[in-house]
Amino acid sequence: MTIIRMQTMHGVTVPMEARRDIVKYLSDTRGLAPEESAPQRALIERRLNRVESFDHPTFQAMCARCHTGGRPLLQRRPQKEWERLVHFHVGQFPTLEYQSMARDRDWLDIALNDIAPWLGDSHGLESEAWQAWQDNGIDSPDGDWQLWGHWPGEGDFYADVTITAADGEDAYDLTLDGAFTDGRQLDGEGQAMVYTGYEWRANLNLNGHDFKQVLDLAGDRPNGRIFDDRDEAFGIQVEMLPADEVATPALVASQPAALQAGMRGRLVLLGHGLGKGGIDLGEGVTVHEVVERSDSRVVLDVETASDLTPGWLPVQVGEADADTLLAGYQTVDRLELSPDLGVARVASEATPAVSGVFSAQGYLDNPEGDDIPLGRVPVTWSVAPWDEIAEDEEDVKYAGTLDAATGIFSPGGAGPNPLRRFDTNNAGNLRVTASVVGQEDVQDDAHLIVTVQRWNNPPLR
Amino acid sequence: MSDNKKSLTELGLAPLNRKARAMERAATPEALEEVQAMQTVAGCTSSFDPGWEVDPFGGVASLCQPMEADLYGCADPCWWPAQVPDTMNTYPDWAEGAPRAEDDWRKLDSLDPGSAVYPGGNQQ
Repeated sequence: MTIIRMQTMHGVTVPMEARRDIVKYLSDTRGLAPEESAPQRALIERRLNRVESFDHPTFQAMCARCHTGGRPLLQRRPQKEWERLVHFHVGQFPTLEYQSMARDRDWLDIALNDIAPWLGDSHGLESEAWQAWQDNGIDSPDGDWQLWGHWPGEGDFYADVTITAADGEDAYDLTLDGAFTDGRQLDGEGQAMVYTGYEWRANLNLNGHDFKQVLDLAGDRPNGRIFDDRDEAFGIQVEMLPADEVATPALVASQPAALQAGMRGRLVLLGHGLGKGGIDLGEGVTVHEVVERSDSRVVLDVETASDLTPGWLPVQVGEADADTLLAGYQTVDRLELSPDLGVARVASEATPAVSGVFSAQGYLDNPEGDDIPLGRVPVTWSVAPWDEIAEDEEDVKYAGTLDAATGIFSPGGAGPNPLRRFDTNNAGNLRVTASVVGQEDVQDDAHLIVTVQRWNNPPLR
Repeated sequence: MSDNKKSLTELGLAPLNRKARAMERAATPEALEEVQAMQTVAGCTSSFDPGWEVDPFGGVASLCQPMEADLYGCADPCWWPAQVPDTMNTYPDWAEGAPRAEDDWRKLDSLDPGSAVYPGGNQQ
């Protein structure tokens, strides 16, 4: 961010390779410890459609009014440098003081005498966490891993990942060999660089699609996001387990998260130590075939009885068991859409579309405790005007199209639209609804704003 | 909402246009909740005068539309500098060769500095 400002605003010439080297050096020697970057993983992974909250009552209005609060909160500076950042903003963007939520207060005084000291204290240059991270660190990621996630519009998938050291400091190559849970192949390869000892950044190609990948390698189960950097709404949250680690047998994930009564299909169980021993999924679930089995994964062809008892299914694979990993259900009690509020953007050649990517999670009521999550359940998607104004303006007709099967909204084109009143853009204020297939009365709504493009598109916004 | 907390209708005023109707809507608790929610959507500006992505009422009906009609009125005074390249200081030549945004918006480039941290040889 700072180097780009030097380039853009002060004419410094830095080739991309040199910029990478500088970022690498600074992140390795003056970076953030895992627990310091943890509150901003969503920003680092470029997750959209979320709401930030802060520990300071006016930080939102003072500093996160134009961009995310995460941008400054990923920085560490002594108070004097925070003050300089304030002065930079006033000098570079002088009208900020008379915009809304600034002209009603003495913005500069508050920025210098309240915000900067608060940041200097809470986000100062030195920290014990950084010192501890430099003293300890983690091992190199080269080796064998298992990764899994959900590709919007395609489905759940898993993959064996092999990471090998490449030329260059902390550089790696990786290959992915996996499948969607319906059996379709998933292959990929990529190149990665690790910064600060745990910040994984990779270019990936999966089944012919180019993606970026961000992982936090610091924990026992590295996790992060694979995303399309031309449409950041389109992303895949992923987790990863070491496949070559000798560990206590454990079941870690199930794809899908729940089985419906009277159905037959594939069930994928992921974990450690699953290679041998009996497989039992409880009463009402028949294993017809073990399609694939290894120490870290079993792929099963299963069928559920039509009178399957709703609730958690006790899962046993060899010495590993799990009581709250896989659920069974007859009908869905409740549906919950994510995100509650999405912002999509119209598309042009220079400013690609930002899609609306929704998901619908089902739940079972559970009188004995928390509702039981069923994961993604089959739903039908539809879109309607959010309010009377949107209906008058025919927003549904112009703002884009929602795929009824996937919940992915593709916005309309950018530019004034002569077919609309006042040549209005293809913006829209929409209500997205999902209904459970076969249970149309079980549904949930989300709010989708389709809005105009932005031309400033730095990686962290 | 007016200072005395009364709606426009209660004050004997009838909303005549789209914006006035939206203001009337904001006088309800539900609409105020929407406004509150939209203030903190990450990455979207909450400078609601009148707003870039969303308007003060949580919708899009009270934005400048079409946006291109006043785009340079935003770029020149640096009004949404995180969304629109400011031609006052940072990108003085952004609109060069595109004198009328309503006609020339396709000529305006996205300013994406890319991320240098991804390996593999491309600019991202």
